[in-house]
Amino acid sequence: MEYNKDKKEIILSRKLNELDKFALDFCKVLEKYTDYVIISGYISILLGRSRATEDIDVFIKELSYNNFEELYKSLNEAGFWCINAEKPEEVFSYLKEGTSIRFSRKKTFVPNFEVKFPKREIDKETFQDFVIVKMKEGALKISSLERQIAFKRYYLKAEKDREDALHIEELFKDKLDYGKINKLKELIKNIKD
Amino acid sequence: MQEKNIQEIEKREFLKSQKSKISDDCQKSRRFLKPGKNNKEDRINFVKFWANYIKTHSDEEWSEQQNIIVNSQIHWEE
Repeated sequence: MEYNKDKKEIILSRKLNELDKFALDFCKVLEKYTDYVIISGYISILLGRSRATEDIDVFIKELSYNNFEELYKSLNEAGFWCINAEKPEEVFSYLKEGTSIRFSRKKTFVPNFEVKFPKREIDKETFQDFVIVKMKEGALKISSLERQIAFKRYYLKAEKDREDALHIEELFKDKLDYGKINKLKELIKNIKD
Repeated sequence: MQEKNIQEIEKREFLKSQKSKISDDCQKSRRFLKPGKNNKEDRINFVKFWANYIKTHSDEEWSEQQNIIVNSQIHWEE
């Protein structure tokens, strides 16, 4: 695994597991319609953490209903279904309300993709603060390592989240921008849910 | 055709010898996991231990082990 901080990319030669294939298949469709960035636990799993997960969280950039309908149709054709509702207008209304929607492979419920529009400014910034993980089979856009560590350690704070943060820190400690982590820590302190 | 087969055999032998070399190196420089005083410390020690394994081994090697955990949770319907 090679992290090039300047190029904002990680070259990964891992053997893919079913979760990775699920992520690549889903994002291949998603990226045709809108910008996306994967956040939360799957990032540390992609980068080797020895645990499993039932979902992959992703922010998508806001899109019009017409574009969403096209995306929804393509996801359906690619073998995914939404587990919150069937009609695209209903699914879209959830997104617009600020709630997340979940997609899984048809006839299954786990693993699933938890898709949401970012609401807070700090979340919207994730689209500019990313890293591309390049694999032989495809690429995935993930939030920056510093952002991952900060959110896991200072916002989510559960034991598994702190361990996820530690995993990323142990892997890349020589290349991390600790000033950025501290700055995000201060911003996170001001988040009001 | 025959030349291709010879190349294949040579490639396989080379990979086999490399694998065996990695295994020997593992034995020589084997690291041990420090047991934690409690569950939390033990888990943290393992996260560090595993991260070090990832840093010192090829992506293929660590991911093969990790995939056992991840794939065990996923059962797609045929």
